[in-house]
Amino acid sequence: MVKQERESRPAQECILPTEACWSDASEDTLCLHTGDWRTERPVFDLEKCNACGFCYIYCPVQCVSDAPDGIHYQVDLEYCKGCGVCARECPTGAITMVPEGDLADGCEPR
Amino acid sequence: MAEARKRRPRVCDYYQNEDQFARGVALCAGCALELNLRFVSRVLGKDVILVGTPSCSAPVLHGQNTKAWHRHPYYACVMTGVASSATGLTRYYEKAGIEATVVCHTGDGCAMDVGFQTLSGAAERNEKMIYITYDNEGYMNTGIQQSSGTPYGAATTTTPLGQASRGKSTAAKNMPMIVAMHDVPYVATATLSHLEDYAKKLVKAKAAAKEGFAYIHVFCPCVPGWRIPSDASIQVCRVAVRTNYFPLWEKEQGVWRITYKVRDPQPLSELTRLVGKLRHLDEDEVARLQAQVDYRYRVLEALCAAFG
Repeated sequence: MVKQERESRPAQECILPTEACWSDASEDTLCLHTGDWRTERPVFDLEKCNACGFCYIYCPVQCVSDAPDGIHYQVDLEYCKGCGVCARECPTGAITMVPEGDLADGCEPR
Repeated sequence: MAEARKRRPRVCDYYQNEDQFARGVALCAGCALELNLRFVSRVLGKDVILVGTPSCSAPVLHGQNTKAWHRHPYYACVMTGVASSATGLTRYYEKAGIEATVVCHTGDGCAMDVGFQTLSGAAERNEKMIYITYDNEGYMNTGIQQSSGTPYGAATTTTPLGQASRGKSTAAKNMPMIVAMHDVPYVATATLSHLEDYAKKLVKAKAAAKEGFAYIHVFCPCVPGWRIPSDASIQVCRVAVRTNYFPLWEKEQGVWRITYKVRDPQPLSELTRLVGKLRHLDEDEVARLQAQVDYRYRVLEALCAAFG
């Protein structure tokens, strides 16, 4: 698998100034690339999507974010575990889970 | 293209900060606990100290490779002493004059079995903390053993389905009701399909924790333990509410209130059909479970009506 340049989170200050920082949760070793687990990928049908944001709130990994078009949502495939909660909760059925092997780019992330 | 307008569900108004957890953490795909952890941290805000035990959330909260997978201050302790350790923390922060909310985050095994006496003691002393129980109805981290939160008939590795056993033979403890009977400032039940309801309860709990003990019981399905598909965890929460298996209610300053009233409750067979650990139940066994669910709901309704 081709490892991509990952933007790491900026190191943040401690939450409570009186506490020593337990972790900044940003280092590569502290962040599993859980996209590797995925066998099925959520694919959005923008014709059906009404941008209600249910995928955004119910995603257990919270890897759904705003799409560049400013209306729809997109999935961060680096971390999406492929559980399918978004597809099941989508009220318009705009998300389908497609097996990774059926996709042209195979198992490569993005 | 269908006309789509950018919308955010109303629950997003309750988010106080960015996700404080690492983006990829070692919890199963579709795990409701992962959503619970991220949601609690987002709604309660930054001044939260988590107290946890060995449990499914431990790999994430304790951390591996020397550091944790989140940015909250965290205190790791044994299952028997979680509420008493948190008591010490709350007293320290109060004495030192630091504004902080201590949140115990434990599973049902710790809250109902192992750490029950310290939880009960902290509730009795009315310590200023929030106690969140994520109820996945068993010891899922150690290999799906039964706890006293496991419902009647559920197949676990210690109450298996076979010739001599047809799942757990006794009912689950009604834990939120037990804590409510301690007459603490705030007790609520919540689940992850009704996130706005959950967020409101977290905000209330945070306010109540300034005066005393606040308890939230969260229904949190386990994908491998309940033998459900990974995409069904939120669906199971919703069906549990709609069948009155897990009613959503709160007790605020002595007043009981059902926060999500189900108009036309579905039969419990809707839930047993969906959940693998209950699928083997025959009609009589489902009827027995239904009778227990109905009884508990009647008690709850009567308590709410008394203050309505």
